[in-house]
Amino acid sequence: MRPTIKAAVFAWLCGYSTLLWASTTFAEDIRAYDWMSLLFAASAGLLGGAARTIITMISPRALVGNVRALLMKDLVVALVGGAVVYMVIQGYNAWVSSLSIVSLPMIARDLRVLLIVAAGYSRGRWLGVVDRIATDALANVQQKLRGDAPPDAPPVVPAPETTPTP
Amino acid sequence: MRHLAFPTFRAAWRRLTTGLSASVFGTAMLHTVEDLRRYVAQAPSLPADQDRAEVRVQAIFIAMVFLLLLVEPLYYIHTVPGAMIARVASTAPSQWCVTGAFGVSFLAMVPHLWTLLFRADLLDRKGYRISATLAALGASVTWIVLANLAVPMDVGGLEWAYGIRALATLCIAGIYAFSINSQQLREVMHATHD
Repeated sequence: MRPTIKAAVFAWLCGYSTLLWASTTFAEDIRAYDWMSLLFAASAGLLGGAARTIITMISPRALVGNVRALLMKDLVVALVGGAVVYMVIQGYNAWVSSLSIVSLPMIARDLRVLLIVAAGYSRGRWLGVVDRIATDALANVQQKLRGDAPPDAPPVVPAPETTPTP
Repeated sequence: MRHLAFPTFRAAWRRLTTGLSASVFGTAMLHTVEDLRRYVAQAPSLPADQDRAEVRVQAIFIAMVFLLLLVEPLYYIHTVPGAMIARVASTAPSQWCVTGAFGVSFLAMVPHLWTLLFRADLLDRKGYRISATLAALGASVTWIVLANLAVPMDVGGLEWAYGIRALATLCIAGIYAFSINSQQLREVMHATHD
């Protein structure tokens, strides 16, 4: 065998046990994580996003022409916002449990769900950047799919001031 | 919707008795094509507004199914001792929070069913359906909170059952939201724009 390959095989044999041990502990760490809580927290955020779409549809100030595009954008933004709030809440809980002199209340599970739903529903300045990025990304994808066709109408337009016919 | 004429119970009863007596005494036998044409022209099962009646009956059944979906957890919490949902709801600050949420949703849903059944002249107003949409959204949020509370109890997929209910009530909210949005689009389409 060529000396380079011999050296590579030797290095692989030396590293194999280490690699196995590392991957096993990583897998155990992954498995020990509370995935169901994370999954249902994500569902709560997505539900907040869908609620955003529905509230937009029943709002008298907005006309929804493309429900699917609006729902997709809201779900993307709600997932990002829910993840941010989830991490903030977990960080707050970890910080609170590390305090020793004063004791602050931890954010329990029920309040955490409500906060994540509210985060998925909310827009405004703190999610405006995410909203714009998601809108642009979805528009780019649609433009690629559409080819040379003219651009589509926006999914939501403000309702005009009208006088309904009798 | 305002001009939709539903048969009254009296008219339906008269048709039923007429049809029964005609079939018993043999006066309604269809022998010729003219008989068939006359029957089709008079048949109570072929009204001119069949499509509108169909939509309205669908709306009635959707509303009743949604109300039953709201009654079910209240029934289990307050009448079945040791039900799982009562235990899950107790890990919320109190099970009366869950009872109140579903109760408010129920009360917000009732006016729409009332207009569907008894006040067809009010069906073009959006407020009743907006109330129904908010009721469905409230029930959906309540169910997803219950699902998240059921996760650490670790009782074999209970959280999935509540998650499915959250999705179902969200779909019902989508039904009413789509109806309201479509009516807004129609109003803008038929309005006079200056």
